[in-house]
Amino acid sequence: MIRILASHPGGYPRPPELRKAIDSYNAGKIIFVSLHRIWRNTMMKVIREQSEEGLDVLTTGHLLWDDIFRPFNKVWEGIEIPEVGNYYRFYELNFYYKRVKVKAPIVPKRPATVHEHEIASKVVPRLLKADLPGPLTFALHVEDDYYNDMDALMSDISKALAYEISYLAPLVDYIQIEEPALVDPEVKPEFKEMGIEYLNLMLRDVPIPTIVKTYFKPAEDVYELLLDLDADGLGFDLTVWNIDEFKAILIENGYPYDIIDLGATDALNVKLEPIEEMASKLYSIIDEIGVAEAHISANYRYDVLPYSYIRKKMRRLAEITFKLRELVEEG
Amino acid sequence: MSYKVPKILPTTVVGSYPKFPIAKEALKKYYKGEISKEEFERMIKEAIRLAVEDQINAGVDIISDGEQRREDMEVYFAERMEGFVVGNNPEDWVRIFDNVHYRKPVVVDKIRWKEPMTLIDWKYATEFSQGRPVKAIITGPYTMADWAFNEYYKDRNELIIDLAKELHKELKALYDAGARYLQVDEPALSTHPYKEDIDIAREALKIVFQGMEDAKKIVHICHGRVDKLFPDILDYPVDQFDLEFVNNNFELLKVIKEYDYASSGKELGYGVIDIHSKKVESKDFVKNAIYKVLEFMPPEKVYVKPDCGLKILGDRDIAFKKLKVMVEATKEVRKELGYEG
Repeated sequence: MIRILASHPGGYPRPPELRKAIDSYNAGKIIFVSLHRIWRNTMMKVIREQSEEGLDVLTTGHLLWDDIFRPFNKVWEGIEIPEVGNYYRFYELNFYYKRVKVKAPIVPKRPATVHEHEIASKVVPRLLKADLPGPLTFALHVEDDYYNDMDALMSDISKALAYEISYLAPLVDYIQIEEPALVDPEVKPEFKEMGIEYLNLMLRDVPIPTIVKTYFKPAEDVYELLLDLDADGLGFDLTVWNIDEFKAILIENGYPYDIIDLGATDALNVKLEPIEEMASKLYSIIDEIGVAEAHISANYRYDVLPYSYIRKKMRRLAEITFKLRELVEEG
Repeated sequence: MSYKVPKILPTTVVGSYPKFPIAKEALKKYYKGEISKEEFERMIKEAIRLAVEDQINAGVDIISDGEQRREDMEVYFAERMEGFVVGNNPEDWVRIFDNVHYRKPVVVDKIRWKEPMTLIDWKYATEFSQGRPVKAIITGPYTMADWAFNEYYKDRNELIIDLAKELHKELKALYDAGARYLQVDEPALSTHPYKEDIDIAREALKIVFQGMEDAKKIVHICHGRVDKLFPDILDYPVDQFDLEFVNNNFELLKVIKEYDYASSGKELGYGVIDIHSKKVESKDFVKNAIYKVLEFMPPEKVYVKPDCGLKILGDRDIAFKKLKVMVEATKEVRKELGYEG
């Protein structure tokens, strides 16, 4: 029987008390120990919220990450963060990431996200997922003043990420890699091939299930290329991909992985998806493929939603997942 | 009092101007309930007078009210139309970068225009403009939809079209009051340069500008991948595209050339001032920029202006100096072309 889990990609809106604490810390009004205590309590809270709303696969919420690249700027040699400016739009979102500068060979000094996963792993009541950016997406979002060579840059980024994963794997149940660049039509095909090569090197010895998550674009043009990935599962953004066309691609090319991550709910809007309709569409997909696990998820990270809406969005995701389980059981 | 806009290379602005302290104080005190509506209006009117005065002193031909009353270009309109909810509590806010959050409106019901939202400020500015035309500026339906959450409408296009119908009423009120430079700001369009987006924005603009044939219809688009919108937007129902050029290091000129923009017959709002940098451009920089565009465009079709609204500079002195350089450089080019003695 297929295992159906309610999941989410990662990220979480910063609760107001944490936002206030970060501002206070940045203004020199509180010391780091105080910020750390508030962050820790807030992380416990958001883990509890994910669980209470019915999610099965939880994350730390990445509450102190300013964007998906910046847990690493403090622990990787070779990269610098510009003091002012250098903000760029992240794809088409009204959210801006800070572009770090690569000034020397990238070498990790220590893991960046292990501490939060250590804490979470002790309290999480269900499954825990760690999430990292992929080497291709990372490489395309830095200002490279050192390598001037995509291959060399991506190679060192993937080694640094593999180092991070080696610390995370004992603490979590899944490793997810965010790779929107793989489905970005503006990224050169040779870079995508390189990205897959480095992802495979990164993931080959990981002892727990790995998922490569794509978003913002359908994967139809690169689907065959994605099948070269040595991951345990792939993730797709179904808010931008017509479900019938998605099914047709799966049927035509097959789906040789154990896990599929279906980004069915829209993390970029507060509107709630209809339960029956969405569950029925998802059922029609998993009915076509023989996977061991289906992760019903949001299309994108939760950190661009307002905190006041997040519980409703998670609850709806869990309701859709529950309904889907019923449909599967009924056959 | 009448004012003669130069026949070639008129100078203009995109809209916003750094907020004067009196405007900031008025907004703060009014929302805290510390001043009366009358006092608030008096203070906003004074801020607009100052913004207009600066533009006139800099020599700008077609000016704006400086958008002194507007908190931002999205929330200002959302808070004044039915159908939107704009959360005031910290948990309703959405992260835009780092730990900075903004109030992202949510569409919870059918959009309805209630009453003019920008007319009074346009009138104040016109009162002080010494005959110079004052642009009437609103945020466009595509951007209003893109920068809001949609909980109510079945799909985004339905929301955009409803917004277009309601924003048309706003523009019509300005048009009826005598505004003849009508600008619709659509910065979000350049972040989604796809056919379906370009098509729905075209349809929406047709609705917004309907029945205003004798007015100058302008659409301002900035940031993002403006180049990717060409050539599809060239048949938009507007007289002028107001675009940024400094921010893309004049790369957009290649597109103007490639798609033979001049043959579209449309005017070009040509950005020659960087609104992200506090460094004031030299006169030579602006003149060179103007001569670059004149390789592809006739001077009577080019409006010289900053890339975008000047509010982001946050410094009135710098904004003023930038406008002054822009005007002086333009005047010199006009003279060199033999159009002005």
